Amino acid sequence: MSLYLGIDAGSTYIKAAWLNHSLEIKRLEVVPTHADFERVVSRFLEFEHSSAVATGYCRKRLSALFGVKDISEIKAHARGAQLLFPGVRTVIDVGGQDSKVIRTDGKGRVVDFVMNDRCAAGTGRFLEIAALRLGVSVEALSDLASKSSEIITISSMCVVFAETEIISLLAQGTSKDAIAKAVIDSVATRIASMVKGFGLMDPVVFTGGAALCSYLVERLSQILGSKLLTSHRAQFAGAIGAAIEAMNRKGSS
Amino acid sequence: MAYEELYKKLDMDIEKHNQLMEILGQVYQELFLSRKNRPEGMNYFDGVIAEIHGKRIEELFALKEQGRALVGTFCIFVPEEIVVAAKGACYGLCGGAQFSIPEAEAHLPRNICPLIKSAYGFKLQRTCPYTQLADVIYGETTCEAKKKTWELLSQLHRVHVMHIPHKKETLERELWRKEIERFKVEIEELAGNTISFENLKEGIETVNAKRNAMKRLYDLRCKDGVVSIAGLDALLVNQISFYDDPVRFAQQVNQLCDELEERIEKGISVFPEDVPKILVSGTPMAPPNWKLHSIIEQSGAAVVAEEACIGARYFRDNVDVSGCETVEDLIDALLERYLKIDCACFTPNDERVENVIKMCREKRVDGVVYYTLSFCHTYNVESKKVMDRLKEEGIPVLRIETDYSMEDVEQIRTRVEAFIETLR
Ligand code: SF4
Ligand code: SF4
Repeated sequence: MSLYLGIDAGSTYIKAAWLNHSLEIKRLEVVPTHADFERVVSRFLEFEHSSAVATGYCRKRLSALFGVKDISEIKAHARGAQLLFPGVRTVIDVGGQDSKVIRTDGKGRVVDFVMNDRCAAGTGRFLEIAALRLGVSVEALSDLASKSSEIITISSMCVVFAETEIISLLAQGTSKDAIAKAVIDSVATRIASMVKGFGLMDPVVFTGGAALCSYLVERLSQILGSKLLTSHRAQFAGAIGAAIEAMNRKGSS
Repeated sequence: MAYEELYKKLDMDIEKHNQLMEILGQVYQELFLSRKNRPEGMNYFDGVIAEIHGKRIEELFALKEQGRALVGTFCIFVPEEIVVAAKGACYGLCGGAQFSIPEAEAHLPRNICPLIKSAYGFKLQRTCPYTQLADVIYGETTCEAKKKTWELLSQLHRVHVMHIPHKKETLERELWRKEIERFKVEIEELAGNTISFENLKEGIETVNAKRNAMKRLYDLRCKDGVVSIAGLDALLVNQISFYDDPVRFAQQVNQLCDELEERIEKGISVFPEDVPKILVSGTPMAPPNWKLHSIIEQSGAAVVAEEACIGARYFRDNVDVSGCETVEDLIDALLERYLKIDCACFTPNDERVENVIKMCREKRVDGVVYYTLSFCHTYNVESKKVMDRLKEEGIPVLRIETDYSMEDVEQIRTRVEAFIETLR
């Protein structure tokens, strides 16, 4: 059996997916990017595969080091989301470094997209920094948030200022639950405004690492008035899309 | 250094300047000289860049010693014809380098556009010989950040500010006409003689000829499916048009165009046949701002036109002198031509939107990259209108907002690559 490997070398995590020729997902792996990049990638590449394609923020580094072909993460996410949720028209991807909204043609091809500008507001980075400040993981941040009924807001869009705001809220004795909720609400608002400016078309899929934050998905669904589809495999959408590309290239060459 | 004596006379910071030139040399090697299949005619322009702070400065210095007026400008609204008529030189001072920005930010807010900060920083650093040479720097009132920066710049250099109206109605026409007249008087004072009808007509014709050459380049850079010259090279020629001697420049551009015609005939293209063709629209790219073009072309698309002031807006319209008999007639002709400038500082500015569409059709582009510098409010806000209209026409468009720093290059690359993927 030959497998097709897709590696999504993101800014915070490296994800890998192996598909067989009937597009069944055979194996998924995720490792933090700060771990030894080269070693992690060579380990992935050692695992059986007949061709590989890279995507993600560090894809150029990967292709320079290992000679692997690369595609943009926009294309990869669109493809991957289509496999996970056939017929998807809008993909919202919130990763560590940036967030993007992609419109596809319902068959996995990109029609149009937007990405946030270089600031970290509305990205996974915002969630991570807040989680770190509160001494919890991003998943736990989501759990905390869903417990809170208190409404406070974090007004700073800028991560640096928001961090200061969190510190002063903690100092005032505000509960961690309430802060977690405010943080996620702020990220949701930011992403929602990007999606609204771009235009929403159902079905909508939420991919990327932030998909693990279920409260964010819930809030975003509320604000957008549309049920966002996601799954535990959604953070692998980019890697899956790259693996599909690996198969297509193999087939055509 | 061969030109150190000259730099000393211009009160430049020689050490800083050396650093600047070293960086520029490296970047130029990487982005231009190392590229394959460039037209021979680019040799001249490579030479201009190699001598950008050398021979050309010597030439200008010689003019200065003859008492000719040297005028530095920041905007294509300043009627260079008048300076040329007075046998002086008019050149662009727009800054496109990150190098001088940290210094500028000691005086200027961080959240204004990098073009202004870069230019102002060059004055503070004393690293730009063109700035140092200028008898007078002509600022204008096109945008908020510029007009307030002139107040600060005037503490460091002689500055005149031209009042550019923001609407195009009767009152504004009158004002604008008066400003052209005032500009003429000031140049005459600087040059020490009056500009005759013949002088002015000649000045206009010289600049018209330069624009014609550039228009020819615009027509030839992508024709019959052949991309005869890289977008980056064509951008460079456009950038150089603001510094070089207008007559020599026009000759060289025409020579380059002759070569491009041959290339088109022989089918010599810089890119593969099916390369996606891109129009870049938006804020001007002052040298050495080559960031976006290099990313686009490294990602496998060709830039075939710039809808910008360093680009088509500069050469699209000429001054029509037919039937002019007096200096006043010529000034009217100038006025007519300059009022066609569709800069985003005007309101309303619907001509621009239509011009973008027209250019897309002319050059048969596959997509548009709307480029805006961070904090350039006019082009930033106007992007919505332009993009909506492009979408209406079914022309794909990507919006990129950035500055001169290199930290976001990879993020931009991702977007540009993804955009190009959708065009294939
Ligand atoms: S964009 Fe506007 S302000 Fe800038 S050079 Fe062009 S006309 Fe002048
Ligand atoms: S780029 Fe925009 S903000 Fe900057 S000087 Fe030109 S018009 Fe003003």
